[in-house]
Amino acid sequence: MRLAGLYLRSRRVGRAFLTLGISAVVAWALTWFLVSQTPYGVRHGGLTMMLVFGALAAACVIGVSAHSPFGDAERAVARPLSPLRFSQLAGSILWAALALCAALLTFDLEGARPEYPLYVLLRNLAFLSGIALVTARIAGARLSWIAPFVFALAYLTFMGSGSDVLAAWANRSYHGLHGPSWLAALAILAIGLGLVCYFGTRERVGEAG
Amino acid sequence: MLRIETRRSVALLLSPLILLAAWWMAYNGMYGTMYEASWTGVYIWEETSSTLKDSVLQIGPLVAGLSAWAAGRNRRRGMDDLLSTTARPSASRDLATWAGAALPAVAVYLLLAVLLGVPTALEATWGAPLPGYFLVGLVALLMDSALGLAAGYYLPGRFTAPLAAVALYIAHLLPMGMVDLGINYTFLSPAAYSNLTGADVFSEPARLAIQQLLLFGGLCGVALCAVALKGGGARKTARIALAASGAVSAAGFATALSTEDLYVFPGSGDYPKAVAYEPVCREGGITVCVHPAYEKLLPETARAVNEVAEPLVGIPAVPKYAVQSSPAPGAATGGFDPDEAVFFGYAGKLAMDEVADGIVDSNLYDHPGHEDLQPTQEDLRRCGKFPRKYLHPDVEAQTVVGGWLRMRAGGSRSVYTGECPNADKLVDRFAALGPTERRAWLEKNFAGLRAGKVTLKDLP
Repeated sequence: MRLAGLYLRSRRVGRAFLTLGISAVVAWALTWFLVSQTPYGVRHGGLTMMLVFGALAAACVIGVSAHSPFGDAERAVARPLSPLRFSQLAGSILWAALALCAALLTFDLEGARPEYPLYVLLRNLAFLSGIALVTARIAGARLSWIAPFVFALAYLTFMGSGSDVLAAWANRSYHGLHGPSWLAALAILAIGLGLVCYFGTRERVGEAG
Repeated sequence: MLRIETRRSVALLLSPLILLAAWWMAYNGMYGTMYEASWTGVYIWEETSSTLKDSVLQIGPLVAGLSAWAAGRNRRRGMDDLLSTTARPSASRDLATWAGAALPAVAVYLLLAVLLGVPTALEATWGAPLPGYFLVGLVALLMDSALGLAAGYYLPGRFTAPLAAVALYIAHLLPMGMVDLGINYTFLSPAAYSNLTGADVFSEPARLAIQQLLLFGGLCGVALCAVALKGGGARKTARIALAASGAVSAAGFATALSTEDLYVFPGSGDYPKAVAYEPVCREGGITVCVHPAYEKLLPETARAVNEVAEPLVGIPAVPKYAVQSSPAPGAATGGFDPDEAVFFGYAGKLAMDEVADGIVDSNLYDHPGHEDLQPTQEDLRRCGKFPRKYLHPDVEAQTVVGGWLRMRAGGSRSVYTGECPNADKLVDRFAALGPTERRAWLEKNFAGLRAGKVTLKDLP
């Protein structure tokens, strides 16, 4: 238990949870502002702040919180680190999902399938977190936010193009429960979690500059 | 110091990737991108300049995050105390750190300018580069980097870099999103005042470059002075510079706010000042004229228009000209008499649909009460969700003949009537007439049809 406590402190988990909560609140506040000012309600991109930016901020925080302050020295410990790493990351993702979903559910999700925004939010969170964790393994945890950020930029750049696959990731009206996109998101998340939990994050590149 | 900072900058490491992503998005994105060049092969300087400026939306926040990350480097390495003993003022070190992150981004921006500008210089048939757009993008990039650096110094922590990037991206997007809400602070975003639906070659571009340069340049100065103040050293100079930068920024904000040439709200009925140009024309059954920027599409446009108009050639009331003009309602007609001309917005094959509708309706762009033609309950009951103005009782007969013209020329009869099955049947009935009978009917009724005096009952 003490080891787990020390591990979580080394990852700044308390601060990460606080940041995740604040991110969800900020995303909710911006969404509320946009939605309350338009007659369209949550339609016409009003939920983008939650679906893309909320998920993006959470994924960035989760990726960065995987950073180990001890570097290679940590790998010399007698006990396996994988369970600790998994608990921390899975807990962070779960907390982010809860915070964002709670924020999203405060809005009147109109339409034939009001649960679609929830699906899209969770899928985006899974996908972007997975990308962040894969990047944390490749380039270091501190720079792990870059790849999800670029992906989110791509979502938003293509959001208006309708038929494009990337647009579908940003827009709740497409593929609400689209099997292949969920499969891709969960696969990326599993790969990211697996890489970071088993190997840890890479330290050198991230600390080079 | 600058060389060392630049060499070890992560921004330099990532710059090829950023350039590749920005270039790809410029051609493949939907909004604020090379829409015309991607879809029609027409290069327009205004579009190229806007796309370059709007690339800040992608590059800027990323560089801000990298600057915030660079700002935390000395702290991460535990070098703060050591560096505080150096002879040179900390401001010079901080400035070098900023330059190390900003210069690779500037290089990316300049390379993107070359990548977008060279094909435009070779292909564009009208217009000139807009240096104001270029400079606004450049200064906004420096501002983003400086703001990221300041965030990194004032809020040190592992989460600062990503959150600074996300926050800045939202800050750039939000003013544009607020336009739809009727809140006009669009000028706060460097990506504002670009064309959201391809290049608008018919109106003057927004003239807010100087105001935005003052605003963004001032904010850049404020952020850098704040960094210098945090580091210590020449505090008095930094404070004076901070005040001056703040004043410049405030002046930019105030002048932008009071400028009449602000973004024109979509659907407001206003329209920016029309730009002067000499259309290029090609004679035929109908003489087709396009904006000189679209000269490359003139042969294709003339072919499409004349295919549509071919069965009407020789009928007195048929317009003599088909003229490209702004698609905005109420826009100038370029000096052409609306009774003698039919107008279309999009050159190339897309002109076919608009010409088919415009040629049979003299009031298409000028219909009495046209902006008030909201669907009635009766319209909704008959024709589904999208009755549009074309299903107004005055124009239904025109819709049928227009649909036939379009179908005959290889287009779809159902572009505007798809939600109204009855209209489709009438188009088929009109198409099934013998050529002689149809021609006779058109010769007799075309003037009335074009004036909106022919009803569905009068159709053969």
